[in-house]
Amino acid sequence: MLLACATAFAIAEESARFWTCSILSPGIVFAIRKEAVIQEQWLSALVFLGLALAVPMSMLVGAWVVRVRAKTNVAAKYDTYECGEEPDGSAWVRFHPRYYIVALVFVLFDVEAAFLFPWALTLRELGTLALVEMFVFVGVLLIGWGYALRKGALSWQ
Amino acid sequence: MNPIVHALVIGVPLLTFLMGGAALATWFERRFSGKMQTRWGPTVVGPAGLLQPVADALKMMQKEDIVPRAADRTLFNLAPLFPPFLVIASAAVIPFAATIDADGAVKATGVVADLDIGILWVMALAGLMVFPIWVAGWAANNKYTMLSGMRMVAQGISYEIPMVLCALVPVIFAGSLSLSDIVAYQAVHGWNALSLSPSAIVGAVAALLFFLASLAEANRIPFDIPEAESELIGGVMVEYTGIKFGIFMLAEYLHTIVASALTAVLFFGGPLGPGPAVLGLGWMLGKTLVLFVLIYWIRWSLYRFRSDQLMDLCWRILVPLSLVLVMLSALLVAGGFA
Repeated sequence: MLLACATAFAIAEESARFWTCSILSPGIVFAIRKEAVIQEQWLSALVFLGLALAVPMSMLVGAWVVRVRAKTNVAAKYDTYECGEEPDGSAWVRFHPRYYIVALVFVLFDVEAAFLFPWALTLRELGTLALVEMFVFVGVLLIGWGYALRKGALSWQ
Repeated sequence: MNPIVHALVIGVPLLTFLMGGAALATWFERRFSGKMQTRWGPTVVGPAGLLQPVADALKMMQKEDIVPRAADRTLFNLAPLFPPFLVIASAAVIPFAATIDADGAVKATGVVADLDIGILWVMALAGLMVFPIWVAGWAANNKYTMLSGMRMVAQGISYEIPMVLCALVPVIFAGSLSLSDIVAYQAVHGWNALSLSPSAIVGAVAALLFFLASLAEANRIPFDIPEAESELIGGVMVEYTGIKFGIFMLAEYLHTIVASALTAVLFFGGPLGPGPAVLGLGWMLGKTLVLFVLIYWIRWSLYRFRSDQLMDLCWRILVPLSLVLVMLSALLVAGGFA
């Protein structure tokens, strides 16, 4: 999910640059060839997002047009399904805390993955230093993982 | 080419391929499981039952739309919009063909948008997938969908970590997040998971883990506890009728296709292969098909993991193992082996 945020920022930044460039001076867009190519790719991606959204939209609208509508109704039709029994109370209840612990541990590792991405890209330029630093970082993290394991945070029972 | 025209020229065939593939996948799954269990599967509609998906789609379009009285109406109706949208959108960065430059370098093409952060795009959209599923499970206000949604979020976020970490292995090798750069790297150094280089050992294990985590993300057996039909009726889709139910199923079948294509590009060279570059599309589709059949083969051969086994497998084995793989691949790069 953090990665989703990072991508959203990247998209916002790219599109902001693209549109300011095209509005202020169309020449800037093509001044640097590589930049221009990257920005064109983002526009293609946005168009494809529209196409992807059109698929479920068209299915929903199509079904709305052709589907049958019952003339008469019985109240039981709109009951919540509970294997034929009368529904017993709401499903919006409190849940076992183990789900929240998993979510906490997930955030830890997700942040770590977000750190690993820029590191992976610059590994060749930074060389041994980056390697050692990341070994320390992942080492500390693995100690934390071992601690969580010992404490039973990762056991599902 | 104008980027909008480009998106349509590549995007519309890609969309057709995905939708047609998903329709055929429903037919294939039923025929394939029939063969495995010495029965026929669909045979009535069209030759060998091939028109069955069309009949299914028509049937689901006509069904009455029922929203349970107790449900949160807005969220309940909004949730089906997103699963197929996210899955299709993530296919935008996958290259399906290859060309050879004037200077002899292989270049991946046939991609809607060759983003410089391709992997990040895919992982971001895959990470968002838990939201519509959870919203669907919660909004229906049904105990089964609620449980299913909870399990789905727990499994989805857990298996996202080994998936992201294993996707990092080809990124470290290629030094780029762009999928076409990863293909170009494999053109020079051999496929990440299948070559004579020592890095292929790390690559092969990473490919296996990535494939397993993709199965979990797509909720396929052996990781389909979120919709385990024998205890939860049918996952978060229980209260959905007609086309809304169909949309969730569509997203699941689309997910298997996209996961196969992504594994093929990251670890098995994507459009690379013997013969002229024109055959690239064929290679890509062939590799995707092999992995796709593997997913369905696994589904009809194995039982499903229990909920606790599922989480244990991820947190005790897959997460530390994929961290080790990332470090090993960094060592290989530093040592000049990749």
